[in-house]
This record gives sequence, structure tokens and C-alpha cells, in this order.
Amino acid sequence: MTMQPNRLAVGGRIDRGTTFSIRFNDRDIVAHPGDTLASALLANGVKIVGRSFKYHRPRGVFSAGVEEPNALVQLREGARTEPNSRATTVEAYPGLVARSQSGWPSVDTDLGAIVGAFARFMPAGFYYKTFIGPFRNTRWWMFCEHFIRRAAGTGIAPAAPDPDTYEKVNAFCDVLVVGAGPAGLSAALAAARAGARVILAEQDRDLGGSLLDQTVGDTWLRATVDEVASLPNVRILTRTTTFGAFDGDVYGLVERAWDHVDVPPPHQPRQRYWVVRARSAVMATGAIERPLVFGGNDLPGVMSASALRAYLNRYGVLCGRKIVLFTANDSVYATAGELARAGAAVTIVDMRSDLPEELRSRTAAAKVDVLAGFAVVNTHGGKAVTAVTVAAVSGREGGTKGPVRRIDCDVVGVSGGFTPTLHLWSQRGRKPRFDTDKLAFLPDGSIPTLVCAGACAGADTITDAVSSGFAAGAKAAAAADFVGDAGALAPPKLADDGWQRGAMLISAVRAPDGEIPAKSFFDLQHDVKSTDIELAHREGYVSVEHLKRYTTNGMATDQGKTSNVNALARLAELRGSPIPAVGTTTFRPPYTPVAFGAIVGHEIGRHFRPTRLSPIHGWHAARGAAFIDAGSWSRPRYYPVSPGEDVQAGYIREARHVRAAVGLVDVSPLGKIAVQGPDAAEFLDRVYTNMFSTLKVGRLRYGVMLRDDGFVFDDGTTARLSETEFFMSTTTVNAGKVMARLEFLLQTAWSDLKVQVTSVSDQWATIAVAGPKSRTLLQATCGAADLSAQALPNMAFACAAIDGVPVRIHRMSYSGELAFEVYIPARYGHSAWAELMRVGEPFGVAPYGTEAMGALRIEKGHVAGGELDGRTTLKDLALERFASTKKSFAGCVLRKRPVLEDPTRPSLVGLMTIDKTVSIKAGSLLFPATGDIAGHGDGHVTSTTFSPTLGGHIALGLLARGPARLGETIRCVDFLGGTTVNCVVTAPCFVDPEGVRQNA
Amino acid sequence: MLEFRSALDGHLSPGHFGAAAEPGKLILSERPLGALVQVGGWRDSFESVAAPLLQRFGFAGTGGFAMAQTAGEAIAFRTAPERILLNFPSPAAWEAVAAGIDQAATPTLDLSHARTVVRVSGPAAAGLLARLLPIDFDDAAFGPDRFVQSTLHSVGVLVHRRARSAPCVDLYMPSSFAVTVWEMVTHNAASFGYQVSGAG
Amino acid sequence: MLRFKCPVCGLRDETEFDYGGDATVVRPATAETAFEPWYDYVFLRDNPRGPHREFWHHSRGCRQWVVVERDTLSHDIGDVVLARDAVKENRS
Repeated sequence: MTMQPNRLAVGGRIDRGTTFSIRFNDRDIVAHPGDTLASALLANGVKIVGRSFKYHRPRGVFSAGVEEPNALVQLREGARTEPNSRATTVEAYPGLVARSQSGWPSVDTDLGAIVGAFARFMPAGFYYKTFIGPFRNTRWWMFCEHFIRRAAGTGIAPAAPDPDTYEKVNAFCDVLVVGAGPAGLSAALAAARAGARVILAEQDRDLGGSLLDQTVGDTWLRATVDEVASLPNVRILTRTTTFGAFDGDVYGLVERAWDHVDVPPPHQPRQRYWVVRARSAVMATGAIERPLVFGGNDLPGVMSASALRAYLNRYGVLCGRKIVLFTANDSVYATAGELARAGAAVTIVDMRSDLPEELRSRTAAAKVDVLAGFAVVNTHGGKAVTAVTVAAVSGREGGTKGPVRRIDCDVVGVSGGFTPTLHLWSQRGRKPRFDTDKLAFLPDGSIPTLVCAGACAGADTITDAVSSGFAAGAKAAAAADFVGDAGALAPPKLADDGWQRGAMLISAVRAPDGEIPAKSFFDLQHDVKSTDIELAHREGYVSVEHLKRYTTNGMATDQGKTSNVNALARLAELRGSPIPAVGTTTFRPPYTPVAFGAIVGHEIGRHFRPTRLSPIHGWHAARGAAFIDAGSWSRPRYYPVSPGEDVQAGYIREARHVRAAVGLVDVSPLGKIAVQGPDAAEFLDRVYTNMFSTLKVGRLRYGVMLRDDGFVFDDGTTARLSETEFFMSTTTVNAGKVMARLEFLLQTAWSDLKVQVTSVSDQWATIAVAGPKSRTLLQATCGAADLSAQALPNMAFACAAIDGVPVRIHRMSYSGELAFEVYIPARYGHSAWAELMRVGEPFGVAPYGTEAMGALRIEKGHVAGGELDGRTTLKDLALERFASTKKSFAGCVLRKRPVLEDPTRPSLVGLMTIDKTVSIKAGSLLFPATGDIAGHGDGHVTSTTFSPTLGGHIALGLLARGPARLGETIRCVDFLGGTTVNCVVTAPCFVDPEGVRQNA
Repeated sequence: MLEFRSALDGHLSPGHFGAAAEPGKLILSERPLGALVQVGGWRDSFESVAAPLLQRFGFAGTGGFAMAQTAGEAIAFRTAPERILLNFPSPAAWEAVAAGIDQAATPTLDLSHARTVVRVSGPAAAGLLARLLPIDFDDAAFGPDRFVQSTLHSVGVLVHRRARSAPCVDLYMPSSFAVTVWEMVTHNAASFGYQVSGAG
Repeated sequence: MLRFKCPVCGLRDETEFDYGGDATVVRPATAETAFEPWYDYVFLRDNPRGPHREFWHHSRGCRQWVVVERDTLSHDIGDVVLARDAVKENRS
């Protein structure tokens, strides 16, 4: 094992008794349980963790938390690899493998850094100007995109499917507490003591928040955590980020249940997505330290001051030996003392000249040097900071004057103040206000069910955080009607300077020459410099939202957690407006990146959406059917007779067989609706274009429904079972929509009708038996019933039984052959089909699939999905005869709109190829035989098939003035395939137009 | 007589699956359905017509929307204002009465084949159901006899907590969706470890 | 996510419902043969900023259509009632 040069011998919350190895950029790194990847890297003296996005500048760990802009790594390898992982939140585990995401050949020697020399050619708006302008969609664009994508320092998405599982959990609580720092713990305790059901969600592995980064307060923390954990009405979720606050008091949380190991235990999900419905919530999300902007503020070694404290006290890592702390507030003074006690030489550079005596004496006692009234103007060093230049503060905010001084150092800790974490509050559609006293955006106005507490609500000290958290917990519980006595809670005993005391807000430090140094970075992850903001302002992008898009400040994976406030302060300066007038950008979910896998849970692959199966599915599968997705159904497309038979050969064989003998097709997916009640007939008269009140019991009728706008909605055949009961069938695709519409009409405008509709699609298996021998087969299967043409004419039904099971036989034809639909109670469907196959063997019965069913119906010119596309009228489809003139029906007025009555509208025709060997593509546009092929043509092809009966390719189409053009040759142009096929226009019905076969 | 085949036929094989777990922690099984019948009616007369009909089977009346009623083995769910779903494990009880019902006043509808019932029982039942449905399955919110109609994998299902001391919940799902729902149930059950049994 | 208090089922997630359009328009009587009332009913919408009434269908619950008061600006949900209690056909 190699040495850990920056690891202290004592202190921190790591387990030094256990040592393991992790790999970073092919180098072994020593780590302990309790480490993050970042703390292990720092302990091992790794300075450069990545290269920057645009200029390939070396970057090191900046923070100790979710705000990290620099230390983004490619975590794990192979199918489990994950880009853009923040080293500061990745828990170290034995065998962890991570790599820098950019830098070639390595992060230490990155040839891409040469880009830095050409920085002036890549200003803000570079992408917009280059790619939205005249170069768009050109080869030059393609070339640049390739180059930029490769050069940009983003990670690599895994190429293989994710081998892990994820799950989604629905949760309900009275009070959700987000964040388990001093405020959140206090809130959870108060709400739970009041009797509320509480969920406490903490993104860290441990509860405690900022207290984990301190050496004092542990007694309070332990006692409070113990009590919260002991209460049965509290559910504690650690490693769980609340990433979104949504309408209806719903919150999205992601629990990284098994992200802290390489491979989750068997059957355990890597992550868990919690959808929490909370009656009320407490947001105790803390605050994030803001950097100060100065020359070379991005060099490795420049870190957030609070991160130095976290690495020291939580991880036992002293990040440097000669440390400069650059600040404009009181918060670094405690840190300075602790770093000095740990052995570092510490110099505080404080922009404020009037320091309280108390701070001066404290630093003196701790042997910490203080330069009051000074600012860091620039850093020095190539791949890591080696020194800083400081100058005295002068004049306007951020200004300095000579002479400059140089201070050698290996780490610069910066603190420009703190930014309350308002994301969740703001996601609820609120704009925060800028508090000129605390120099921070704070929640403005209240949301009755969302209470802010602690630092995110402006509480300065831990004492204040505890009291505001406790009050917020009680308030949130009360909002959920829990008003039990929560008692009291004493804050921890610790000296506390507060995070914002005496703070000043400076957008950027100026060198004594009055200029902001060139390499002063606002957004570290996206390499946004002061000059970019100046350019955006100069070009008129003066609103914060425009500034963000134009410079991409705040648009990286960290969403500007450290950069936004400084950037908008700079914009305010340029505009000459105060910060409140400039405002801040809109916060949107997620707070931190969320894996898609976590959101979709188990609903992936085959389970992306539910699949419906017919009761006869098992038979089809056993027979080796090829299945096809039809809406939500999985249906047999055809039944290959040999392994090599393709769909084309299969459906032609099956369709031909139906016309010659008899076939069975599973039409269980048809929508089936029971329409019951004294007013059922009146209801059907209103929803169908044709008359149903005149239908006799025992008979079927084909019906068409329109939408209210006059277009055709759906069609199907409906049987009258009794005076008060009808059995409606719908197309498979529209079954749900028809049902919803019928319910809508009955529950709104027509609620006076005594009618009930119920879906019975799942109650019945339906088998269509078609072909000249279909009656013979059915008669042989259900012996007792009389199925003769006299007893059961076309469009009538009869009750019968198959082997003792009552069934209903509808005589109707979709194929044009003598045909029947047999309705069987679903659980008998499988065996009824098997029985029909058994009995039908002597008659040569064969199953057929949806493809042959489609071929047969196209031969008959029946309309289906391709024609019922929501844009066709009765007239377009030659169904005008179904429009009753004796009654009103839904859609009857608007179908008469002049535009829908236009005689030139495309209407239904048949098409037959002149060359029988060529096929027609559905969707082809129709053009006259001669003339230019331009525009949208005279119509389009809706359905196509090979016709076994005619021995050639046929189609249905919608053609302008179609019925007047029978016999005309037209061209079917498939623009996608680049083919043109000559066809003759025919009537839509190609086979047996007189209906002799189906009426046999 | 034709063979009777559940939509889940071939999909349930008894045994332990998923993570290791103590016996009984989570048991999945299919429940047979006898007669499942819907009784409907009209706003102006439902209470006066349907209540006596239900009383003939031993139910107190038409019941409320949250709690199932039980009468012996039979269960009644008030699924909508004028709609009750009756489950008779022994169909004879229903058939004895069915023929005499005035269909114009209280239309009835046989849905016995339209639903498939999966039973989830054991102490992990609530945890599994929380992964499947957007419903609060906490004991206080979803106690014995409580039922809800909700969505599982985008499929409308009826969930009924049986009146037993141990957690025991029946899921009524449309039969054509039974396989897809079953697979979603088992995928989510794997992290708990579950037992498939022939009978609940 | 919106949550609606269905009069039959209680407070439920939006995922159990389907949106069904503007509930402030009144369907003309079936016997209405004039063009204008149907044109207004089918095509003309106000798109208000603020309080609004909408149809939602509890399609994966009790299958009742409900009328929801929703503020289009804040997404605040007000009263939810059964559509049959809130809507009458225009019988004038």
C-alpha cells in the first residue's frame, strides 16, 4: 500500500482500522470505510482530477458535496459505468474503479489544453453563432460537432444494457423533512413528537449535515438521531436525494440503495425511486458556499473553505500544508484555527478591513496570520496552485490597488458567503427574494404545506437552525392536523460564528489596473469567464435567463450551484442595477442528476407498457405463431408451417386457405361493451349514425360512430340481446376510447338516459370461423344448434354450446366468406379453439393470423385502421348510406361542414398494380399518370396487400374524385423508398361484390 | 365439458423465488373466482331496488365506496354510485336468485371470466403493494375490508384487504392483463423474496 | 403531479385519470341542427389564466367522469364533483 501523504493520524469519522484499495486512472489509491472518492484522492495527494470542459485546464476537487463542479469522474466500468459522477459524493468501496472524463493522453498531460491558447476564438455564444447561423446542417457543422463532442469533457454513456434493477416505491406521509442537518433533525423530531407520520430524507450516508464537518456537537447529534430513530412513526431514508417538488405536495426522491458497492446483492435494486405524497413538508436543505472569483481561481488547490473543514474533520485529511483562506465573511475563522491546530500554516486574506477584535485575538491565539483589507488577485502555478498574489482592497467593490504581494501556498480556501439551497421551494413555482441584509436569495412568501427551516431559510447559526427547524416541524405537523405537544429541544453547545455574519458580496476581484484578470472563472464546470458575461451583456443578453443560455453559465450538470449568484452579481454590476432587480434563474427538477433507470423502475424492455394477451394465447404460442404488437395486444401475425416460411408466404397461404376451406382467427382483442338499460336503444341511436332502435332481438347490425366534429370515429357490429341489452363491438385499437366516450356522454349531457355501459372485452374469447366449410365445422362442433341459412341468416346470432359450455354464434363476415364469430366465456376460449381445431381436422381447418385477416378484408374493401385515421368522413369512406336521415346523432351537424362536403375530397377506391409482380407501399402519394410529381398529389394509399384471389398486388386508397376515376391509371409514389408504381383505379371491393359467398 | 383455463395457466410454479427470506414473508397465489357479477341501476331508484336485492344475499345494503361488505363467503364492492360488484365463491347462491331479477331496474352482468384474482399475503405484502400501486397501504389507511380501485402497471385493478389478522390482499385484474400484471408483481417481489403457492 | 379528490374514491394521483377537456362548454341538444352552437361547442375555447373547470375521467378507478376546478396558473385544485351533478345538456 502506498502512503496517504495528506491523511492525519487521528481525527475524522473514517475507520482507519480497515484499509482497502481503489483505482483511479489506473493508479492504486488507499481508502478507508467512511471515505468518499474525493477524500481518498485528496488523502493520497491527487491534485488533478479532470480537465475542464472547454479549455482543458487542469482541475482538482473543489467542494465536499453535491455542488462539485470539477471532480466529475467516469465511475465503474463496462455495463455499470456511470458518467458525470461527483467524486465528492461517491462513497469509496473496495474495488472501486474511476477515471477522469477528459484529457488525452492523460489528465496530467492534456494536448487539448492547446485550445486554451485559442480561447479568444471560442467566446460566449460560440455554439449559437456557429451552428444556428449559416453553417447549420452543413458538412462544416458535422465536422465541428464531431470535434467538439470528442473534445468536450463529458463522460461516456454505457453501451451495454444496465445489468442492475431499479424500483419505484409509492410512499405517503404527514410530514416529509428534506435534509437531516441540525434543522432537519429538529424538524423531524418536533413533527414526530406531535404524532405525525414522518419521512426524513437525507442525501448523505449519515445524518447530521454540517455537524458532521465539525468536531463539536456530536453529543447533541447522537442524542437527537437516537430519539428520531427510535420513534415508530419516523422513516429515515439516507443516501436519498429529494430531487423534485411537484404539484399536489408530491416529491420525487432517489435512494442510492446499493450504489456504494460495485454490484448490488442478488435481487436488490441499485436505486429506488420514491414518490412521496406528503400532507406537508419541511425543507431543511442548508446552504452552499459560494466561491470568490479572481485570476486563476480554477487551479487545483483552490477549494471551498468549508470543504477544507469537511475533509479535515470528517475524513481526517489535511488538504495542504501552507493554506491561504480568502474570504469576505466570518465563517472561515473557525476553520482556520482547526487547520492550524492540525499542522498547517494558515493565512487569512479578508477583504474587510474592519475586523472585530474578537476575531483578531482568536486568530492570534491560533497562530493564524490575517491580512485584513486584502484580496487575492491571482494564483500562480501550472498544474496546481503554488502561490497567490494579494493586493490591498480599494475603492469600489472588488477593486484593489498596488503594490502586490506574493504568498506561497499549496491550497487556497475560498468563501464568498453562502447561497441557501432553495431549489425545492422554488420548483413549486415561486421566485425567491434577494435579502440585502443577509446577501442571499431567500424564500419569499409562504406555501402553506412547505415550510423552510435552517440555513435555507436564512438561519445564520446552528442554534438558530435548531430552533427554526423545531418550529418548522411543529408547524408542518399542524398543517397536517397533528397538534400534539412536541416539547422543546435544546441546541448543541458550540461556538458558532454563523455563515453570513459581516458578509459582503463581490462578483469578482479586480487587479490594481482595474481589470478583472482574464482567467477569472465564474462557472468552473462550463468554463465561463468574466469576459463571457461581459460579451453577453454587450450583445444584449441582459436578462438572467438569456445570460444563462448564451454563456451556458449554470447549465452544466451542477446547474450552477456554485456559480449562479456570482454570475448574476456580475451582470447586475454591468447593468448598473441592484441584484434584486436582476433576479435569479428558474429552478427546475432535478436538484441533482437522476438516472433514468431509477425513474422507470421495472417498467423497461418487454414491460415498458402492459401487454394484453388473448385467452387463447397459449395455444398460439405452442403452435409456434409469429406474434405482432397490435395496440397493447400481442397477436398471432401468422403461423409458420415450416421454420423458413416468411410472413409474406405465410399470410398468402393462410388467406388462400380461408377462401378454399375454413380458417380460424382469434379476434378476442375486439372491443366488447355491454350496453344495458331501458334507454339503450335510444342511446345507440344517438351515438351511431344509423338506426339501432329498429334492430330486432337476435339480430346484428354494423354501425358507424362519428366524433362531434363530424369525422368517423369507430365502427363495429352490435347485437341486440334483449329489449334492454345490446352487445357492442368496437375496433381493437379504439376499444378504450369508445368506452370512455360512451361513459362521458352518459355521465354528462345525457345523464337522464337509463343506460349503463360496461367493458366485457375480457369476459369473452372470440373466434372467427371463416370459409366455405365454416358452417359444416361449427355444426359438427355444436351439434344441437340449427346453423342453417334459414335458421341463422347473415347478421343474426344464435345461442349454442360447445361440449357443454354455452356460447353465442354471431353470423357475420369480415373476410367475405361464409363466416361466424363464436363468443365463448374467456376461460373456455383456449379449449374451445382446440376443440374446433380437433373437430375441423377432416375439413382441413387451419389457423390464420392478423396478416391474412388483413389481406382478406382488403380484398373485400372493408375499412380499418388505415382508413379510419380520424381524418375521414362517411362520404370519404363510401359509408354515406349509414347516415340516417330520420334522426339526429352525434356528429350529424358538423359532418355537413362545407369543407367536408367538398366533392374533390379524396375518397375510397381500390388500386390494382398493372405489373402484378410489384407491390404498393402504404402511405404512397397518388398522382395522375402524367404531369409533374409535385405537392401532395391527389390522395394516398391506406392499406396494401397481395391478393391471393387476384394473384396480384392490391391496395385501398383515398383519391380525389375517386369514384369518378375508375379505370384510370395513376401513379403511387413512395417518396421514402423512391419508387413509383402504376395502378388502375378500381372499386374498393375486389372479391365477390354481390356478397354471394358470405350469404351462402 | 371443455377445459377451464386461467389466464395465468402455466405462469405460476410453486416454490421460493428472489431474495432469500423466511417462509411466509410474502406469498403469491391465484384465487379461483366463482361467480363475479355486476349489479347496476339508476340514480332515482338504485337504493330502493338494489338494497333489498343485496339483503337477499345477507349484505346489510348497498354499502359505501371504501369498505367491502362480506356475507358468509360472498363479498360486495360498491364500485361506483350505481354499481356493485358481487363475488360468490359458490355460484349456486347467485344462480338461485339471478333469473328473477328485473333487468330493466337492476341490470346484471356476468364478469366471472373478465377478472383474474391474485392474492398477496404475508408481512411484506404492504411493502410489495407500495411498489405497485399509488395507494397508501399503511395499516391505518388500508385496514381489513378496505378496498380501492387503482392502477397497477397502467392497468385498472381492484385491491381488497381481506379481514384477517395477517396481511392478505386480493388483486382483481382484467384477465387479458393478468400475465403482464403477474410479471410486474413478481419482478417487484424479488427483492423481498417470495413464495408462489397453489392456494392462499 | 396533480392529485384529485374523487367523490367516489377519495384523493388519488393524476395517473389514475385521463384528461377530458374543457368543462365550461355546454353540449348542444342532440336535436340541435344549427351549425353555430355545435361549432362553438366543438372548437371554441377560452383558455383562461387562473381558475378553470375541466373534465377528468377516473378511468383506472371508479370510471366516473368528474369536473375539476383547477387554477391554470398555480395548479391549485379546488372542488371535484361528479360530472353528472355538474353538467346538464343544453335543452333550450
